[in-house]
Parts: sequence; C-alpha cells; structure tokens
Amino acid sequence: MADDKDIQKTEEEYRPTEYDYRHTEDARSDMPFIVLGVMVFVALMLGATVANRGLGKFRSKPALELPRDAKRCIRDTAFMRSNHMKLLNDWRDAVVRGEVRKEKIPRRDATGKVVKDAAGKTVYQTIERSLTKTCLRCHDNPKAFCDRCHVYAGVTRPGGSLKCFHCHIMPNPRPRAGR
Amino acid sequence: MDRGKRNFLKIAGLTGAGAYVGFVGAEAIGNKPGKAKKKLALVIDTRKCKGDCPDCIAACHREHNVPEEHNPNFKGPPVRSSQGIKWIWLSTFGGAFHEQVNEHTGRRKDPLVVLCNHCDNPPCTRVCPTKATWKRESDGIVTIDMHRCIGCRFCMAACPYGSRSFNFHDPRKNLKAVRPGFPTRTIGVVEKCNFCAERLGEGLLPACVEACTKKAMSFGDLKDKDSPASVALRSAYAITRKPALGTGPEVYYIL
Ligand code: SF4
Repeated sequence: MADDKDIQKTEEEYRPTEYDYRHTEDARSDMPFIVLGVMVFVALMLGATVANRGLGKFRSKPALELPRDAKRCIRDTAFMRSNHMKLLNDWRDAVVRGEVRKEKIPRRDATGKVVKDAAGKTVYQTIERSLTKTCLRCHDNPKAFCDRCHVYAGVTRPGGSLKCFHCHIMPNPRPRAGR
Repeated sequence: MDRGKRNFLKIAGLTGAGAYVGFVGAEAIGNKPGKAKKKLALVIDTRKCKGDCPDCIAACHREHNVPEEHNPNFKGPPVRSSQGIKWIWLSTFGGAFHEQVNEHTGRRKDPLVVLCNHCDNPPCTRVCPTKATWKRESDGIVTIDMHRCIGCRFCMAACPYGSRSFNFHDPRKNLKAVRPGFPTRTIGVVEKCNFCAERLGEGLLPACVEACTKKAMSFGDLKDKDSPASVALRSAYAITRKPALGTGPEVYYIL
C-alpha cells in the first residue's frame, strides 16, 4: 500500500514542466562573465602564440646557415627537405645492421647536373653513410642549421637540440664571416 | 574410453607435438653457435701481461669515449662502483676463473684483463626484447644498436661475465675530453666492448691490442689458420672463462 502512494507522489513531483531558460534573470546576469571568460581565453591563447614566435614572424622562414664551401648536397634540396630524416634512418640501418658503410651516388657538376662520361654513362662517386663524417663535414654548425629549422617547424622545443647529438658529437663550427 | 578423456589425450598430444616443433624451430632460427663467417678472437698471454700498466684499458676508453669513473684513480664526482661504465677492466684470477681456484692457486695475485667475450653462443642477445644486441654474422662480433636499446638491462642480467654497463647518468659529464671520432652514449642505454668494429672496418687492429706494449694480445680470425690468434692458440695451452656454461667465449687466456 505504502509503495503505491510513493509511486504516485513521485510522478507528480517530478513531472517535467515547460520552462524557457532564455528569459530568466539568472541567464542575463551570467552574460558578462561569459564574455569575460571568452576574452581571457582569447588573450591567453594569443599571448602564448605571440610569446612563442611573434605574430609578424609567422611567414618568415628561419635564417639557416648553409655550408660555406660545399655547393651540392648528396641529394637535391627538395628531396632533403622532405626526406632527410628517412635518409638518415636508412643510413643508420644500413651501417649498423647491414654493415654497409659506403654508398655510390651520381657525381654532379656545379650547376647540379649529373656528370656523364664520354660514352654518355653516369659518373658515380662513393660517399660514406655517416652523419658526422659526411653531413656535418659541410653543415659544420648544426645549431644554426638542424636546430634552427627544427625549432621553427616545432620538431624541437626552442633552445633544445635533436636527440642525435646526445651521442653523435657536434663539430666545432669553422669560423666564417658574419657569425 | 569415454569421450572426454579421449579428447583430452588428443589435445595433450597435439600440444606436446606443437611445443616440440616450436622448440626445434626456435633453435633453427635462433642463436646457432658457429654460424658467423669469421670467428674473431682475442688471445691474452698472461705470461706477458701482468695487468700492471694497463695501457690497453686507457687506450680503449679514450678511443670509445668511456668515462674512466670505475678507475680507482678517477678524479671526478663519485660514482657508485656498480654504476661505473667499463669496456675492459682488471679482475683477479679468482674473479675471472672462480672454478679454477683452490687454496693453492689462490696465491696468484696478478690482476687479469677482462672484457666482453663475444661469445659464440651469447646469452645476452637472446634476451634482448628489441633485438638491439645481436651477434654479427659477418665476423661474430656481439654488437649493440644504441638507437634501439631501451635500457631494460635484461642483457646485463643474462651475461655471466658482467661485461655490460648501464648509463645511469649522462656519460659526457664524467668525460674529461670527448674524442670527436666516436659517438658517446646517452643516458639509459647499455654499452660494452665492441671489439673495435669501427677500427676493424678501417683495417686497424683493436685499440687494446695496438696499445699493448708487452705484445701480450693476439687478435684474429680463428677460422684463418695463420691469423695471430690462431697461431697464439696453437703455441700454448689456453683457457676461457666459465666454459661449463656453454657460452663459447672468444677471449682466451694463455696461462
Ligand atoms: S661476454 Fe657477456 S656481453 Fe659479451 S657476448 Fe658473452 S654474454 Fe654477451
């Protein structure tokens, strides 16, 4: 008996009512807080962005220090820009696990064209697959090349350095004008 | 025979057969002793080496940027003896050949040079969960890929000779001078002697062998009858450390 009464009471008490929240006093009094909150949020996000890079610098590319005397890389620039990390990984696996240290690449002249011999065959040169002995021989200041671009691209945090250089030893940059 | 029992026996039989096939298969693809094309070995003549210079240790550690922190003469910040890095170091006769010691041999006091044995059947490589360490098929060197080592230290537990060290801290902190020709290691990886794989690739002898002024070390391929190591082993009686474990050490000691 008591159960029935309870059920009845419950249904009456909790029957949903039509209620329009838009016209209550409460909602209108919340408005300034919401606007303030949005403003604080925007200011914080913008502040963080500006503190990181400065709005004006967004589109400018990082000033990379290119090798002084070497003119040609072991691959063309477009390939290196998008695939250098893959190349380095392949080299690492080839040397450490495959025990193959040397690699043959086509010789290129100063304009970047592949050199051919009299018979029209491509002339090759042998290079060592080595970060320190090959890459860093020309890019003798990784801080102003690798790190600068990686920080720009958000690969490393500002002021940080690549994990490569936890073990591989950075060369002493050769002196050059304007450094 | 009731059905349940019959099925149970069938499944048990199949499981046993499967386990056997798996075991044989694992043996076939796993570490097979003596598979390497070369069998590089080091023969240390203890009649010439009294462990008193020890030029080999200094040369090795300089060559490979190993901090000299386990060395009693080390002058840097103190490092717990169990945490020092070492590739080649001094032990005692009893420490290196504990099965051979009795009350009379115990009097043998000369320190003994020990290093990774580059075992023929290395237990360290079997336990590596990332295959960061393995025995090279070309020459039998037991090597480590530092890029892949996750620092779990299973190999250190598996090696019966204590040949491996762990980088508990940044090794560059305790290096007086960094030699640019060889990478250092980083915090959190295991390292050990690599039989100077990088020097062999350039046609040089291991740094320890080259540095030994007493000419007590002979290095070479045991599959080549005329290599210095083969010649040295033919000339005198030599023993290896803990042979009963079946690891097949490739560092030999002429007594
Ligand atoms: S001595 Fe130790 S580290 Fe060296 S190969 Fe043998 S088990 Fe591995």
